[in-house]
Amino acid sequence: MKRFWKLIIIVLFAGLLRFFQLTQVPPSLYWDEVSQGYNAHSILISGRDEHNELLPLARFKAFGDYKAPIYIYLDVVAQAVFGKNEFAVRFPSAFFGTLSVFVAYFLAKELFKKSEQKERIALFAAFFLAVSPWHIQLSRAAFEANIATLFTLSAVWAFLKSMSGNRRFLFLSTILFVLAFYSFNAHRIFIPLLVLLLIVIYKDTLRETKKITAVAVFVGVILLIPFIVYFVTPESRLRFKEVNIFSDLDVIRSSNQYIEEDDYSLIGKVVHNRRVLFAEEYLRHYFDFFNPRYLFFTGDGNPRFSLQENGQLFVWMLPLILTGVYVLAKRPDTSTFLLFSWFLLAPVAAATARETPHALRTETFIPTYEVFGAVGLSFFVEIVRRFSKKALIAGTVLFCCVVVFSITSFLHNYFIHYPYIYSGVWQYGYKETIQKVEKIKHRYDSVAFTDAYGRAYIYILWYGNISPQTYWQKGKVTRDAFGFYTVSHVDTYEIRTSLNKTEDEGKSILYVAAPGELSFPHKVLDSVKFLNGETAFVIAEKTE
Amino acid sequence: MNQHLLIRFIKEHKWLVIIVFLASFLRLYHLSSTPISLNHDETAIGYNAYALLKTGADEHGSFLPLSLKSFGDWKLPFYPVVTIVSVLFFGLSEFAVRLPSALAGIVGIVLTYLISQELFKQKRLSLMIALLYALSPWGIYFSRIAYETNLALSIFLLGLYLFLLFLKKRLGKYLIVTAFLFGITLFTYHAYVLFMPLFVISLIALYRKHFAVSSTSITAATIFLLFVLGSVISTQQGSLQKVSSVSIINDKNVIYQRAEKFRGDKAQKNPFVERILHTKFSAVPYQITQNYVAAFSPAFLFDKGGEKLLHTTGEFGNLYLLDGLLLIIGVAAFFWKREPAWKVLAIWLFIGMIPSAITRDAPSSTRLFIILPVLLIFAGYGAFTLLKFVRGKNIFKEFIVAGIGILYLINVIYFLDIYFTHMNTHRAIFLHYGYKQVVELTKRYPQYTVVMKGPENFPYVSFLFYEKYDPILFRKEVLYYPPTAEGFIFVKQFGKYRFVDKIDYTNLKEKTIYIDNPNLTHGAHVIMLPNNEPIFGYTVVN
Repeated sequence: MKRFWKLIIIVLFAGLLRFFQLTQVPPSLYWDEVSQGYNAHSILISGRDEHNELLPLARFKAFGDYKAPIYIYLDVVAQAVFGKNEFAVRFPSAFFGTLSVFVAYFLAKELFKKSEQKERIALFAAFFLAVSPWHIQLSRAAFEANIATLFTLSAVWAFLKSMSGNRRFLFLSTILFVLAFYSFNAHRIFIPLLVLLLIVIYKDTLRETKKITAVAVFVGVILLIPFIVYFVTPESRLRFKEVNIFSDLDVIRSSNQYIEEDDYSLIGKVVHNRRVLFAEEYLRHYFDFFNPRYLFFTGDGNPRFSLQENGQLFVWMLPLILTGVYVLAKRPDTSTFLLFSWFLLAPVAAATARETPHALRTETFIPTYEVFGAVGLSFFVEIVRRFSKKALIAGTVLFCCVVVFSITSFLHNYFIHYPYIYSGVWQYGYKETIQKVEKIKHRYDSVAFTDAYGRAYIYILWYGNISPQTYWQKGKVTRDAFGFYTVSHVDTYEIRTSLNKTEDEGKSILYVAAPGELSFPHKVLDSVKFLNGETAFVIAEKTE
Repeated sequence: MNQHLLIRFIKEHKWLVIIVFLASFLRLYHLSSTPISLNHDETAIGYNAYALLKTGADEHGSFLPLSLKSFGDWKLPFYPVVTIVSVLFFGLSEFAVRLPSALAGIVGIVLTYLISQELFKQKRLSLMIALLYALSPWGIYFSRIAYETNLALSIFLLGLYLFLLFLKKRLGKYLIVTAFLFGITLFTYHAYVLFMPLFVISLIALYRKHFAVSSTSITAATIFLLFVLGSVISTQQGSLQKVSSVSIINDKNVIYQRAEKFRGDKAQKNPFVERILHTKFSAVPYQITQNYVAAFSPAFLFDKGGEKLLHTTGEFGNLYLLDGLLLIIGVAAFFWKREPAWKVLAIWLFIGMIPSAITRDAPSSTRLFIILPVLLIFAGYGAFTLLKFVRGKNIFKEFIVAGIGILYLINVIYFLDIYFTHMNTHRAIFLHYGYKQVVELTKRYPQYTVVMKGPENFPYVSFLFYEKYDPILFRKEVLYYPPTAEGFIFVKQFGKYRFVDKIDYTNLKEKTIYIDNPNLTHGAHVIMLPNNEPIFGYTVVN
């Protein structure tokens, strides 16, 4: 215990940053979280998901977006312990996020086990991860990628451990890699590449113990069977088709246009070939992830993953990272090669998608930036040590001031301001509205609920405490051309894209609408506001 | 005898001569028609040069000005002054306006070659750098439009080269010419007003051992300080307004985004903490750091280019994609070998990035143009390292390097095709196409009054330019709108030309041409862009 007190402090601090006010910041569950929560609830009490499917293994249909299964099963456990509540939905992510800090320490130590500075580097890396805005934000909501990250870190750690000593760790590593594979869609591309990379780097060691290697591969393949069965169905590619850049017709159109303008000359056909354009498009998306403005200043454009006023990483990490890369590049060894390749592989999957840079899909970057930064800082510490003790103290104090100021500033903005400015992004208001409606809905024949904010049905199921059995019997579900499910009836709720219908004559209906949506004379009974003061929902009834 | 020398020079430097020919071709071929039209700044530069040539004063009538008022944007005088010469030889034409920039681009390549010869003394390396410069999209784009930044860079390069010669030969006259040239850059492009003093101070600090307190160093310092003083005085004249309108030091938008937005929300908060965390003193430095680092954004360098539509082809970044690879190799090799030149290149690079960082629209392709030679020197060093890497006659290595070479060639062809074949069609609207066509239209009706919409687009200067309007007459006739908040002045009318915010179609006058947006039903006739989209509509009332 005594050896690890520094690590324990860092992990406790990480836990504090991830669990403090977990249900209030971010201010509400956004729709994927509720969907995971409800599916887990449904599994827990009936063994079946919201679509009445028995224990899905390869994927959950959910909204038609085919969610990876691991998070939902973890949520089943969390709800069994903590009950059906918001804390239980977010618990796995926050808990695994805290564990990631712990594992990052051991991974960094294993990577630099030949270095004298391994202890220091590992502690720095764990600390950087503990305070990383990127990781904190993704750990505080039910993001599947965060689970995949823990599995990836542990899998690589176990792999390195098995290469340097106890070969049985290889089985553990295989299982963890498979778990990461099942945890998040982007990891279905990233994990195979990472495994391939490890095999290439350690091919000699793996060859030494052929039996164990063969058995580990066999175990991995067995565990992947549910996925392979799913992969041959067209539905597995639906989500990918929807987000990837290669189905973009504009590229083909502009390729044809340019070739025409070149009078179909050979040069024109070569340089404006659609394959060239797609390659260019891919590179453009790939390099988006290395945009310094995105990384260090503004972060992901989606406020769910970033405050917009903070980068994914702190600005002061930049010099540390550059120094770390320089130090590593000067001493090329296996770990350096692994880290650099990991770094370059991290955005390979996410770059096939249209929205780049995307912080969630590239959580695969963890722990590379943190380790680079740790190596850089460790190098600076070494340099400063050579100077007098005064210089050491002055340098440390100055650096700490910058770090403390910037961390405080981030935490302040995140806990105090962020929920107020961006509550709308987190679908704030559904919970409050549905709770209010539940109290008065018995006075009406039915409730007409707006779909203006999207996916209202899942909130009604969750906050209206509607059991899966009732939903299977009474819910009306249709599927659109893109494969998404649209739900129009849940219990006494009717979810409508337009509330202004004439067939409501003679019935008593409670309307839940976005502001300005009701065009007929009505009486507002109640309203729910976003945290920034703008009205989110109005609850109203018709007046004659 | 002289001819004999020339032949010997060509024989000795045949590769450099070939590169210069290539560069000249890429910079002079179709110079007046690609880009397809002069933008307003080019037209204004051309007309002011013409006015200076005819009357010794600019379009506003100020005699030998240190700063040209022009649209109220206070242009620096050196580019127009140089343009006087080319207007004298070639008349007031597109070619004459762009020629100084194109020549500056070509000379810049030779100077970069000479500078890298001084820094590395390796001929093949210097040739490689010159070749990359000759092919550079950034270099080609800004050499083919009358951009002050390109001329300023070449003057700076000449100054720097002479400074390096001074260090080697210890001849005071070099230092004095250097001071003079560095001084001129202050009157060529705005970014140098900030860049040059900082760079000079750093150079002095870096080479302090080479300076003795002597009459030459004092003379050189005095010359430079006189230029700085002149620059400060001319700033007082009016361009202070321009400086404060482009700098972000007091930018309301930045302060709102990073400070006031947080102060104004409804969160429960501690006023003391707010006062420390959300002020303009934390907001503005954060933005400046962000802009500074943005110079290295891959999108800016390799993909889209700068923020302004006029500054890019829309398809290409400022460097080739493969320059990225060469840059990484170059910088790494530079560090591994501990090249002594890294110090001067580092201060050039890091100071060169400052002007863009403290202004809006960062990263700006024009303000960051100063650092282009540094990037190309690193890229050239990378290419050189790659070539040395295959010396060992290893087929695998040769294969890799040949592959990179072929990809680079494809990259170059791609750019040239986009630039010379497609840009004029796709980008005409951003290149201010259509004004020349309007002037040609009005020339067909010499007796008619011209009424044109949109004084804020400065159409008047196109009429002045293409009609070769007499500057003295113009100064007498012109009437202005009151200046805008940013200090811009729009012309209301001169001669037979009127510029209005809105055309009153209920009250059309006889013998008048009305020129308006194309989407109006009144304009039966339209002027088309090269891609067959309308740009102006016009009505002729007989």
